[in-house]
Order: sequence, then C-alpha cells, then structure tokens
Amino acid sequence: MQNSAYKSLRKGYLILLLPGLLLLALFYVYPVLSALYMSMTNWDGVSRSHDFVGLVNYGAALTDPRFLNALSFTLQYAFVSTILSNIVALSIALVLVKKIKFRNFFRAVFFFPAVLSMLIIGYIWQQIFYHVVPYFAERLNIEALQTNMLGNQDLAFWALIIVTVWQASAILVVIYMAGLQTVPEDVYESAAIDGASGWKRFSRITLPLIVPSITICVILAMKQHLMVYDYIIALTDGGPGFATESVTLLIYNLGFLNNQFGYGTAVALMLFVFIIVISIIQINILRKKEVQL
Amino acid sequence: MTFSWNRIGIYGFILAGSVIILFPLYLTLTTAFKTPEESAESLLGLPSSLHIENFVRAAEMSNYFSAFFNSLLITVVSVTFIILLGSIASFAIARNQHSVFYRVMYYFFVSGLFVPFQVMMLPLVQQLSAVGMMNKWGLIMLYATYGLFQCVFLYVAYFRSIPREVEDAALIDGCGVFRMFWYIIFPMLKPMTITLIVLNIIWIWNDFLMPLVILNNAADWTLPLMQYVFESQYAADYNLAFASYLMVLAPVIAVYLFLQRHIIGGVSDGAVK
Repeated sequence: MQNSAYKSLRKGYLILLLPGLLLLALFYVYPVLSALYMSMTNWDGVSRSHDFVGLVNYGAALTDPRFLNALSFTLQYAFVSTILSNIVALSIALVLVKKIKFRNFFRAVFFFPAVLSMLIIGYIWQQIFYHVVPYFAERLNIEALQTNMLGNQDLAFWALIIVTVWQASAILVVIYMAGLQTVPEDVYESAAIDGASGWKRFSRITLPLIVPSITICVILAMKQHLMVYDYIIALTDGGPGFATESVTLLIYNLGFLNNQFGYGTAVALMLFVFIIVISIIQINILRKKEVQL
Repeated sequence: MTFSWNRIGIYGFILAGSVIILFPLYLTLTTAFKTPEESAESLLGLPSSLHIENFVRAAEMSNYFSAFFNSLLITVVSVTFIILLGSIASFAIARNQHSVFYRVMYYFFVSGLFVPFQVMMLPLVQQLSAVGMMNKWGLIMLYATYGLFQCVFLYVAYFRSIPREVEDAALIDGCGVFRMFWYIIFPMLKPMTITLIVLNIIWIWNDFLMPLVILNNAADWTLPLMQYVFESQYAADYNLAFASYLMVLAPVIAVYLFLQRHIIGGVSDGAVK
C-alpha cells in the first residue's frame, strides 16, 4: 500500500517536470549543441554543404581587427556603464530610504525607466542628441555639442553611456533600497554615539553590510551591458564607422549580412565565455568583502 | 526634522534627478501633439492645442493596432506558459532535493541564465525555419523556454519558505500530486507568481532582438519591431516620430500609473530572494 502510493508520487513529480524539460531540450540544448558544432564549420548559413574546420574560427577571431574592436568597445562600454549606473543608483537609493516627503512618488519616478522599451528609449534619446542638445549648446556657446554627438567618434560612446545610465539605474535603485532597508537602525545609532561622521558611517558600516546587494547589482548590470544591442541599433547602428559596433551587433551582422554563420556563432560563444569569466571574477572579489552582523 | 542645509541638498538632489528622468518623457508627450511649425518655433514649449493628426497618421502608416494585438497575444500566452510550466517543474525540483537527478535538473534549468541569446540565435533561425515556426507561435515557444530559467531559479528559492507539513497531510488524505499542487501549493506561491508575472511582462513586451530574428511575416510584428521597421520613414517628420514613440509606450505608461506600487514591489521582492 505505502509503497505503491510512494511510486505514484514519484511518477507524479516526474510528470510535473517533463513539459519544462521538453521545452529546454528542444529550444535550449539542441540550439546550444548545434552552435558548438556550427562554430567549428565554415558554413555560410545558406548552402547545403560545409566543412568541419575545428577551432579555426576561434583562432581567426583573435586576430580579426573587427572582432577585437567590437570586444574592446563592448568591454569599455560595459565597465563604464556598470560603474556609473551603480554609483547613481546607490546614491538615489540612499536618499530614498530616508524619511522624505513624497517618497513613494519619487520611488515611482526613478523606477519608471525600467518598464520602458530600450529600443524606444534609444530612439527618443537619438532625437534629443540630434535636436535638443545642439539647440541648447548653441545658446550656451558650447562648441563641442553643437553638432550631433552620435556622429562623433568619441562623443558617441558617452552618448550611449548617458542613455544606458538613465535607464539601467532604475531597477538597481529598487534592489539597493531593498538592501539598505535590511541594515538595522540601531547600528547607525551606536555609530552616531561613537561620533562617526556621515562619510565614515557610509563607508565603514553601510557599504560592507550591503555587499550582497552590490554583488547582485554589479553582476546583473554587467551581464546586461555586455549584451547591449537595442541602444546600439536605435542610436548609432555601430557607427560612426565601426566605433560603436558591439559584439552582439557584430554577431548579427556576421550571421545575417555577411553570411558567416560558422564564424558568427564562434564569436557568440566567445561572448558567452567572457560573460562567465567576468561574472566569476566579480563574485569572488565581492564575496571577500562580505561581512555579517 | 528641523530646517537644515542637509535637507535642502537632499531635496535638490532628488528633484534634479526626477527632472532628468522625466525630461525625455515630457519632450515625447509635448512633441507628439505639436505641428512641425510649433516645434520650429519652440522646441520645448507646450502645444497650442492637442493635435491628434500625428497619431492618426502614425497609426495608419505603421499598422499600429495589428502590432499592439500581436504584442499583447505573445506576452499573455508566453507568460502563462512560463508560470504554469515553471511552477510545476520548480515544485518537483524543490521537493526532491534529496535526489541527485533533481539536483542536477535544478542546475540544468538555472544554467540558461548565463547563456546569451546570441549563442543560440543563428542555429535557432535554421532550426525554426526548417519546421516552419518563424512566426509568433515559434517566438512564444522561445519565450516559454527562456523564461523558465529565471522562473525555476526564483520559485525553487521561494519553496524553501513554504512548510512541507501541509503537503504531507494532503498526501496522507489521498490527494494526488496534481490536485495538491493546484489547490494547495500554487495559491501559496502567489507573491512570487506576481513578481514573475511582472518581470516577464516587462521583458517580453519590450523585447526587440528575438522578434527581429524570428518574425518573418509583417502580420506577426510586435510594437518594438514595427517601430524599428518604420523608423526611417519618420526621419523627415520629427513630430510624427514622437507620436509613434508615444503610442508604443502608452500601454506601458497607463499600466504603470495604476499598478506602480505592485510592479515595484514585485521587482523588489524578486531581487531580494
């Protein structure tokens, strides 16, 4: 009796797992495995035949100036926007957890960008850089900004950073607020009695206690920014020249415009390796800084 | 709280921040209602009257309503799949942690969180076109799959806070696994279910890359994809472009105005877990 009930329970659990497992097998395992294989071929994505070339595509990427340019742009973009969006978000969160008036209103304002389409936000900012920024630059006599920032090799990078920080900080604010609210009030009180100044209280008490939130935010932001695509499409399309061609845009262009399916897939797998390696490094650095009350 | 320069600094900081956040939206809203002449006269001023011609023209040019209903259908069906399949799979995984098989299954589901879509993008195009699924149904299957990664991660963590005694009692009473799940377990997951619904709606409604590579047929286009396709046609008409942006953002803005408290709460709960 007992045994058969146990068996049917085990069967029940397995049936619950199966539909999800089936989807993963079809649309996750199968494409990942074919990506691994394709990355070792010279397939163009159209013709019926292709040759197995081993690791040639990976070697070729490491000496391909276009890939190295895209990689260096992506890494710089991801590092700068991750650092800036975390600093901005943490500063806003520090203010929003204080007892201020209209706190819920301000929280709703700062979270708002997180629900909006990155592509449309990119288009709106593109119009701002094209029409609004030069309009004010002329009146304020700022020479450098009188033409469209997006058409300038160096300024286009910073234009992308501005848009990214504007939107990416939103979700980080909410995560930091949740983290800050777990820091007990009495820790601050005893620090204040001991005469710790504002900055000291922040760097010696708050910061170490919210390291778990910092870990989540930095990893989330870094992964998202290493995969930047929508903003690039909306704002620069990789230009001027190849100045803002991200690795994701390069993969798309290789696969769909240049008919280099095999090579494009190899580049995608290298992006994956970069994301994993950078995430592991971040987790290790931040875990060492974690403290417990 | 007494008057102090410190307080002024704090309010100055968040007011300045709010202006920076709201400026692009103010510009979108006002420009969408203006004529080109009005914009030439004053870039940032308010419109003299609420011209709706921009909206009418943009909707006709881009087939807005078709894209809106595609976005709605794809989002609703995908999110339903993710929640249903994700919750039952998580239940099986969370309640069998003593078994090596289910522990491996957990890591298998969660591993997907780290794989960029770009890795699978090119093979998927081949795979889906071979079986004629380069349409919204194929796209829904992809969302249903990729949504499971995060869904299982968050649900399994949430199950730790749900006591097992209730389940044991139900099982002894002869309640089958399926009935028990639906009537007892699923209702207890509600806070995490809300979080997951919010996160997945934001992701799927706004996603651009997957529709771009999967949706071949114009009849299947979603709102962001439609905007991308028609963007070049708006280049000459700044006001028309903003009317179109506003129409794409409007459904989200409307939902956010009514449900912002639940939306922020949902995202924040998901982050803490």
